[in-house]
Amino acid sequence: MHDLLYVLILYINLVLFAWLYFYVRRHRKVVAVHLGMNIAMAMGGLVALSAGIFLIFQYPFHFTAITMAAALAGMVAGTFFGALFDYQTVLTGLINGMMMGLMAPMLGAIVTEPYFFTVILEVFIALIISVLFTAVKRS
Amino acid sequence: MLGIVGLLIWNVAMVCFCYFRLHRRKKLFDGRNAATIAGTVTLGVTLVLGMHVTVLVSPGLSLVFLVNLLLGAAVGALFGALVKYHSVLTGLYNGLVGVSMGVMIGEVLKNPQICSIPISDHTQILMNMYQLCGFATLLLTVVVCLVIYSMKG
Repeated sequence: MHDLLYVLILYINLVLFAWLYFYVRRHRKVVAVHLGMNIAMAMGGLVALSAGIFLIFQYPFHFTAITMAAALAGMVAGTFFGALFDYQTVLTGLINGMMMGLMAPMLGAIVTEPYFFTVILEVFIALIISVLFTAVKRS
Repeated sequence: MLGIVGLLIWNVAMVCFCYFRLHRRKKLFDGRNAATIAGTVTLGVTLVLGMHVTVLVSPGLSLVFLVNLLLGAAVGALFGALVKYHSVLTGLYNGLVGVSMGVMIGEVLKNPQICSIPISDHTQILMNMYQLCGFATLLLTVVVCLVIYSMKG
């Protein structure tokens, strides 16, 4: 249990992102296209960031495979969130997920205090998700 | 290193193909489409090209960074000025961001100890370099194909 802590946190984050996907999908008729572009950028980047950082915390000896997995996860997530709106939002989400996925394992490899960093990262992810939830609800 | 030169030539050929294909159909764009395409293509192209150039060029970090910044600004201005001059700023900004990220990835690939990645063997460093450069080339090919496909629909 305790030795798979970061994979568990990553799983909880992915469930939260999937819930946000279905919430945005139910309200996609009222979301304007500029907010859609921002949602695709933010969510592609966040999925790639959390996948790269938590996987490199858990398995520090597989840098190349984790970089590939994080880039592919970010591109798939950006494509899914962008495909709710337009083809141009697909392109924006895809390229942001790719950039964040290539950078995130490098950021996770240089961090020296993983517990403190995890707490701060979770606080920021919760803040961004609440801001997106409020923006979709008020539009 | 010869394989990475081959990958760099393939990437430059892909960028030229994308530029001339977009240049031929530039009457079809409107403003928002031009800004989106300038941002997307410039970010992907400068990230991958900066990574390959940084891996290939051996002198110190400042010179590599200067060369790559000039490359990124040139690519950004080229793709931004494709339709009208409104999206040059988008192209320049995305080009500089992509080049900074690409230089960072290339420096870490050349010397993994600065990120405390546990790879120290010379053969393993070369293997890691080849795998990630090939993967980035594959990603750039996918992105260029998607951008060209967006002109048809």
